[in-house]
Amino acid sequence: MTSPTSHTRRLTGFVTAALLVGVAALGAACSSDSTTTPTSSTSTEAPSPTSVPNTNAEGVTALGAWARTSPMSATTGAAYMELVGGPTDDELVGASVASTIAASVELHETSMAGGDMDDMGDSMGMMTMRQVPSIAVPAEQTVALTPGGLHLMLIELAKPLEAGEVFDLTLSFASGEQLVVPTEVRAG
Amino acid sequence: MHPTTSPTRPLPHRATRWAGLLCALSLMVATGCGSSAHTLSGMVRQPLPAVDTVALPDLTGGDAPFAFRAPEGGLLLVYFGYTFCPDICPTTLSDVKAALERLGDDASRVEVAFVTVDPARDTAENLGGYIGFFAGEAGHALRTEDPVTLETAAEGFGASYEVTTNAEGEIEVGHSANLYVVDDQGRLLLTWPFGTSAEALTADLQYLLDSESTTEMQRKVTP
Repeated sequence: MTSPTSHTRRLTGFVTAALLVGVAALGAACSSDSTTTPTSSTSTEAPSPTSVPNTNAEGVTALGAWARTSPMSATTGAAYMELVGGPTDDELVGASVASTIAASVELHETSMAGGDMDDMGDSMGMMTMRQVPSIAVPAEQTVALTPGGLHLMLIELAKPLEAGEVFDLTLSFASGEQLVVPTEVRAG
Repeated sequence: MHPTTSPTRPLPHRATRWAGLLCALSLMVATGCGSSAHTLSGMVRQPLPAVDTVALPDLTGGDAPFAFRAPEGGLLLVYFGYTFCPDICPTTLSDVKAALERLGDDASRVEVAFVTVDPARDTAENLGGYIGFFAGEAGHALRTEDPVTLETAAEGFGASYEVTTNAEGEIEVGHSANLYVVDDQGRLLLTWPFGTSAEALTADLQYLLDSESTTEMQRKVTP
C-alpha cells in the first residue's frame, strides 16, 4: 500500500519544513500545497531549539525521544518517542535530522505480515516493516512510537549512533507546525 | 500440510506452532502448580526439533560450515534477520546483549548466531561487525547465497521470511522475529516471540544453564 502519495507527502513535509525555517518569523502555517516549489535545500538543517520550541502549547508535544545505539556496520537506525496531541487533530508528515546524523528520516511501521498470523493471533509469524505516509496524532491523545511498532527510521547514518549522544529531530506536521525534538541515543 | 491463503509465502508451520503453543501453555500450568519454581517465557515445540541437520557458512569463522548446535554444555541463540533492519532486529539483539551481561560468568556458555535472510545486501564486511556489536566473541554471522539451504535452515526452526521489491523499487523484508534457543545436541529447546524482555530471556537461560546435563535441560522444557 505504499503508494506514490507517500513520497509526495514526505516531500511536502520537507518543503514545509524548509519554508518554515525560512520564514519562521512570519509564522507561516499554510504551505501545505504539494506543488509548492522548493526554495531551499537546507531542510535537513534543524533550526535552533530556541526558534521552534520542543513543546508547543498550541500543538503536539514530544516526550521521551530516544534512538537506539547502532552497530558500526549498520546503515540505518530508529528513533522512538511519544507524541501527545494538542487541542486539535494533527498528523506527523515528515521528519529530518542534520546531515551529520543521517541522510534522511522516514516514517515506518513494523507490523505482522498480513494473513500470516495463526489462529491465536500471536506473534509467531513474520514481521515486516513499511514506510507510512503519515502518523495521525489525534487531539489530546498519545501516540507511542515504540520498538516493534511505529518508528522514525534514520537512513544512511553518517556515523554510528553512540550512547550519550543527543541530536535534534525536526518533526513536520500537516498543520504546518514544526517541532524540534532533542533525541537521546541509548542502548535501549 | 495445511493449505495456506498466500501461496507465494513460505509455509507457516501452523500445525506445529499450535502444538508448541499448547505445550507451552500446559507447561505454564504444570510449573505454576508447583513442581518447579520457574515458568518459562519461551515456547516449546514437541518433540524437540533437530535443527543441526543444516550447516551454513560462518563468516566469523573463516566461512567454515556452522551447524546449529551449542558449545558443549551450553546454549546457542539463533536469530533470522538482516542488518538493514533498524527496528526489530536491534531491539531483540539489544535484549540478547543485556541478557548476556546479566548472566555474568555463565554468558561464556552461550553463543549467538545471526542468520541473514537478505544475503544480497548483507555482505561479509557488515555482517560480522553487526553481530559482534551485540554478542562480542560469542557471535556467529551466518550467510549463504543458496536460497534452498537458507530455506531449509529456517524451516527447521519454523521460521519464515520473504524479500520483495515494492512498486517504488524499495526492498522490503519480512521475517519471523522470534529468537531461538538450541542445545549442544542441536535440539530446539525454546522459541521466544518478539518483545520478550531481557529479564525474561535471562531467567530462562539461567534456568536452563543451571543443569547438570543436556538431558536435564531437555527435561526442563518437556517435563
